[in-house]
Amino acid sequence: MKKTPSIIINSNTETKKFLRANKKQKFPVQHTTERELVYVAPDACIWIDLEWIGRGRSNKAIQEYMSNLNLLLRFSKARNGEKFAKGLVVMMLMPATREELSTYQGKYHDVIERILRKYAFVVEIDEQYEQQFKQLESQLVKAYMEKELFTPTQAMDAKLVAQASIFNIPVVSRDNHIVGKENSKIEKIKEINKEILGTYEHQAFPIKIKTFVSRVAKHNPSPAPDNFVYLTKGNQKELKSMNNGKVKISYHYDEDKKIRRKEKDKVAVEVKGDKITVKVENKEVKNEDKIEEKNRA
Amino acid sequence: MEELISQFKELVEQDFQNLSKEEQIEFYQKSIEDLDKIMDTKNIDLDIYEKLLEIKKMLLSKIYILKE
Repeated sequence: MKKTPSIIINSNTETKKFLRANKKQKFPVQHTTERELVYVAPDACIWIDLEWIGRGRSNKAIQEYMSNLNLLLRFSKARNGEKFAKGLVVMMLMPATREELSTYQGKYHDVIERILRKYAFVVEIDEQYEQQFKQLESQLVKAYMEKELFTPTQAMDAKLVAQASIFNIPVVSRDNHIVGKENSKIEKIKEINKEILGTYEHQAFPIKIKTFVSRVAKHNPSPAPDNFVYLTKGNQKELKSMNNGKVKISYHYDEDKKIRRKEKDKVAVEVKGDKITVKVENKEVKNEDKIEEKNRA
Repeated sequence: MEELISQFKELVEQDFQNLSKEEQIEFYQKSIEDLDKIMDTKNIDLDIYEKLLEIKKMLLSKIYILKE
């Protein structure tokens, strides 16, 4: 069997054409894979600081902070006309942040419009799931407030963290009351999120910009976004096209079933004589007639 | 502008327990509308915008808590 040089792992039509045209040439083996997009939800202050960077100016004395912001902009997807082009990071504008940066009529404030139009992926919740989404958000915010992770005047920040957590997307901020001065605050947020939203392999939580940028630069694993089913069809379509059709639109959170990721299947075994019925989450998957005594347990 | 910012800050810190929930929500919403008009000024200084945004966030937070 002819061995195709493994230069590119995903083989689309263009790649096949290219390989066919150059089959005599030998290519060095490159372990390049298309990196999955990284999602982040900047808070309002980060958007303002990004606007400063966009203007070619620095508003903060800490140069390291400004250079991290610069890196974030360079990594991020920017609009070229209507569509997003290039970039590895998708900066999501959560409904909470959008409310802060827009007028009561829904229009962006003049000063921040430029940066938002260019870089923001505006998260829109489908009407069908709006109530469910708000219920989840409300549950999370209540839990955060009960644990005194946010004060009543910081409810909008709690709302942002809740909304981003539903999608398993990290919030990036420079405020200590969001990213936490100590690890204990983040651990409490993670605990609450696990309880209400379920466990993820890489759980998203609020982080500082330095940590986020370093994670992207070092190719560290990023939280896989979830619950994109809550988004409008337009949002989902745009995300799919940005991901070359690879993004998974996951199940939506079902209060009754409380489906959790990575949870072991609940197995119920019913033994009646020689007949053993194995049920996995109310679904009958096995029905064996003759099972040896020693296998029963 | 600094005077305006401090006036808005005083507004946030005030307690309107003599008003009903709906009246408080209406009052805060009107204040946000006024804030938005200032924040939407063309060529507003970003530093001032940020200070006004902090106030707006606090007002929005108050409305959120009252509605829950």
